[in-house]
Amino acid sequence: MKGSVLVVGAGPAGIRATSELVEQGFKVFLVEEKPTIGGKMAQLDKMYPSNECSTCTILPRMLELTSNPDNIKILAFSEVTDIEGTAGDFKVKVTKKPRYVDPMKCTACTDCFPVCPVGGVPMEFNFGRSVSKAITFYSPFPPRKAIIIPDKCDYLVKGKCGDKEQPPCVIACTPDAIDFDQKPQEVELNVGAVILAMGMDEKTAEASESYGYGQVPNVLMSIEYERLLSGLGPTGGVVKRDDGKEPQSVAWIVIDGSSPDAILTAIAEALGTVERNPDISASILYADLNLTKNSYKEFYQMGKDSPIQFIQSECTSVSEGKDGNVSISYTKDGKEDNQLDVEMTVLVAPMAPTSSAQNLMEKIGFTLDETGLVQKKKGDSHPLRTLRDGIFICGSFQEAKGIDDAIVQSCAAAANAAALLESERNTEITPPPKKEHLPVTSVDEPSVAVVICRCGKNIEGLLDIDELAQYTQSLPHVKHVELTPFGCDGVKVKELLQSKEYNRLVLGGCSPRTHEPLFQLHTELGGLNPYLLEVVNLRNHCTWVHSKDPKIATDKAKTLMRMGVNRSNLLEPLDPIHVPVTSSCLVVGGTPSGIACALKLAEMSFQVHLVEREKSLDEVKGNNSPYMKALIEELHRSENVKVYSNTRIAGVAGFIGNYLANLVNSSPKEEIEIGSLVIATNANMRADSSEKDYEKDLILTRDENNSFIGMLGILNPLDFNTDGVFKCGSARGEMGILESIIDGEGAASRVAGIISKKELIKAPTVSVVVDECCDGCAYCIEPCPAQALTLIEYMRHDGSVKKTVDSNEAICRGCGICMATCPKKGIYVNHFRPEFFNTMIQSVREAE
Amino acid sequence: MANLTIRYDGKKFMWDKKVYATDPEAEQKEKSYLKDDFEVVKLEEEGKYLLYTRRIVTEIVLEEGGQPL
Repeated sequence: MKGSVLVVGAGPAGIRATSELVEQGFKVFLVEEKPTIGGKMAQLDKMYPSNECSTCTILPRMLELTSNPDNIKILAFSEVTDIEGTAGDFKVKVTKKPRYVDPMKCTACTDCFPVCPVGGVPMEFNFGRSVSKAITFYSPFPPRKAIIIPDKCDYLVKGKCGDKEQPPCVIACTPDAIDFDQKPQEVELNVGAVILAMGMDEKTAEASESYGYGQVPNVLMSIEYERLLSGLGPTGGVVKRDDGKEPQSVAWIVIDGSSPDAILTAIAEALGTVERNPDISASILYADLNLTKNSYKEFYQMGKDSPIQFIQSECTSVSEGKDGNVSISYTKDGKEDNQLDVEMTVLVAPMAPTSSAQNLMEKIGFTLDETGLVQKKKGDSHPLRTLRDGIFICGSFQEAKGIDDAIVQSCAAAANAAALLESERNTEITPPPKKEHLPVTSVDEPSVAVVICRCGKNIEGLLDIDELAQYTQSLPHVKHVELTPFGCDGVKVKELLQSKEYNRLVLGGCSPRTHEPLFQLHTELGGLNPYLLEVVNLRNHCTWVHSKDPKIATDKAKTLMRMGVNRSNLLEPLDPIHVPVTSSCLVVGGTPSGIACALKLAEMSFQVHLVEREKSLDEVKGNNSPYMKALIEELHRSENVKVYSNTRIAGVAGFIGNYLANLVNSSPKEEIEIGSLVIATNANMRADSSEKDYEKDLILTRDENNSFIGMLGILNPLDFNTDGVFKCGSARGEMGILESIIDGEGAASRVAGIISKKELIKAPTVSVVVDECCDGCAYCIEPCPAQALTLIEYMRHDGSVKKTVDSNEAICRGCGICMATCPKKGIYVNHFRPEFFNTMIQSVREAE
Repeated sequence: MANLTIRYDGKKFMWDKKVYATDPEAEQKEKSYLKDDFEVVKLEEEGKYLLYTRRIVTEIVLEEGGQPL
């Protein structure tokens, strides 16, 4: 039995399955056929139903993986060619394709790009809508290493490039990374389980035959249009036709047979289009809606409330119109030959497995049905299990679906792999190296290193970056300023800090909201305490909001850098908080998802308490099918699950890793210690007053439809805002039995990521009471959303009684509301002292 | 000078601002604090004794005039 897992496909599902498994103590080999990770999600502009920026959402998750190379081996530009063996012990063959650049040596400096004489090479990532040199980055995403396009490279095609003995790229490459001798390399891996998350491609055959794709100009597939909408795309987010014209009318055709979610893709793209140009005419032609989830219905309504025109119809033909326009014929309400002439048409097509996925399926003995879905074992309806034990599928590869559903499935697939390999947990994981930080005290004179990220065109495309660097160099205590193509790869940060010459780091780049944890990690790897880093948001706060005025943007960038540098001078090193963990879980609700969650955690050897208000689990809605009855029997047989029927929860206290729940109506009354909770109650069950108590205890909130409000973000479908508390199944919304099972198993993975650890490490950005200033006025107590503050009295020897506040650092979320309410400077949040803000404000005024 | 604050068993305790020369003296004071429902932690430091107390306020009354802006 092995303690490692192979994940095939590095789209959102593969990335999430990887991070879930590593959190739970399993090493992962992540194989991706493309040279960079991120899958289709990296090519999208925005996602339904949250309308979040796709790149901003997925990029930090990608970088999280690349920052843990000991435990996550990413094999990009590689293909799995065979999987032999059985559950617990698979032998996997992987072919690494030659990129002609040694990724271990390449520093992404880009010095080889300008010297390459071969230009005009169509970029696959942008579907040929942009061009590059023959040596290039495949995409803006990690692993950011150069790659040579072999059939375009003069040296590889003709055996000669330039007039010197060596090709210009070799001469320009200081780290000596170019390697023209690379050949396909076969690697053999030994893993305990396999997760296939290879995604799907849009089927272009029907689009080509019936809808003019590839024949009629300005007819695009949906994923191509996404690249035009993307700020990192070939047109910088401005939709343009091949003739350079910005279309004033765009139509989306949802091709019949597409998944029900296809129309949501069309709506997301149409919304993105009208957001950029409210005068544009946007139309969506579709046959059926068939939306079941409330969030999807709401997103559709958002589209209906916008200027988008929805045409329920059957599209009959697409032909070339005048001036490069597209002429669409459709039948509506039985009336044929309706015409719509638009300047651009986007096709949203059914999905099919990629050709490499089909090849692999054939090699490992799996068959795909006529719709491209993986054949199941007879009698096994579990959506993620396959013909071979230990090989699981998830994400779009299982069936076309939205990203939120793909995330739930990837968590569930991780839970299944973890349950299988439970005995090998932590056997192949390399613990993080002991952190040795440069000793820094408050009396040391600040010595600031500044790294300014060009961030592709995002920052460098607008700012006068050299002027900014020169100005920054003149700021107090700044000892060095360095420009880097992409600071998020950490190369420059680590290089500078390892010199031990600097005790502060200021990074001018993208938003700390998305990237600060990553930059902190790089700072720590460079040997500096991560709280001595200051991130200056030159992108979202500057170049994005002043994108039409380089002068104003450059001036503002100087101000932002001045604020950041001056604040950095005050920063103090901080140590993380260690919180012990109780390795058991409370599942609330004996619903199908609650039962599935409890069973999966029990399989992982965790103790589970399952609480149900009904007298028996059989009485719970959804539990009367033979499938569920078998699971209930299994649950009762499990030594790791204790079922409390006819029981409710009177209250819950504590914090992540350390909750205490009071159960009533159980016999005898019980108080249980748990590390995490899962809410799996029925959606239609309005919480009575007693249950609302525990919801209040856990700060769980509901919307006007009585649905739970979870954590924001498409990547957090199972999470509440309260750390260590999760939701699944009907507590998330109406869903079928199999979907509920997957939800429950997904929640089990989230829980296992916590309770499989002996202790949790929490950021030290928590509130600190200044006892000399706090007089116990209590203004901060009630506003604290985490209920982390307690008003206490204490007695002086002379009999006087004083008051002050006790802050529980394990619960505190560091939101700073307490600091804002305190009239006496009696409480602040670590890393955000009031004087830091004063300094930043003063820095703005310096320019006035 | 003793620490004004200590954390014991995850909870914050405040010093009563007196250094007790002997254990019986500290114990006697400790009893009086306990009688008033305070939790007490006694520390010995260089042969002297320090008492730290706390009591949770269950009924919070804000100062008149409301919360300052």
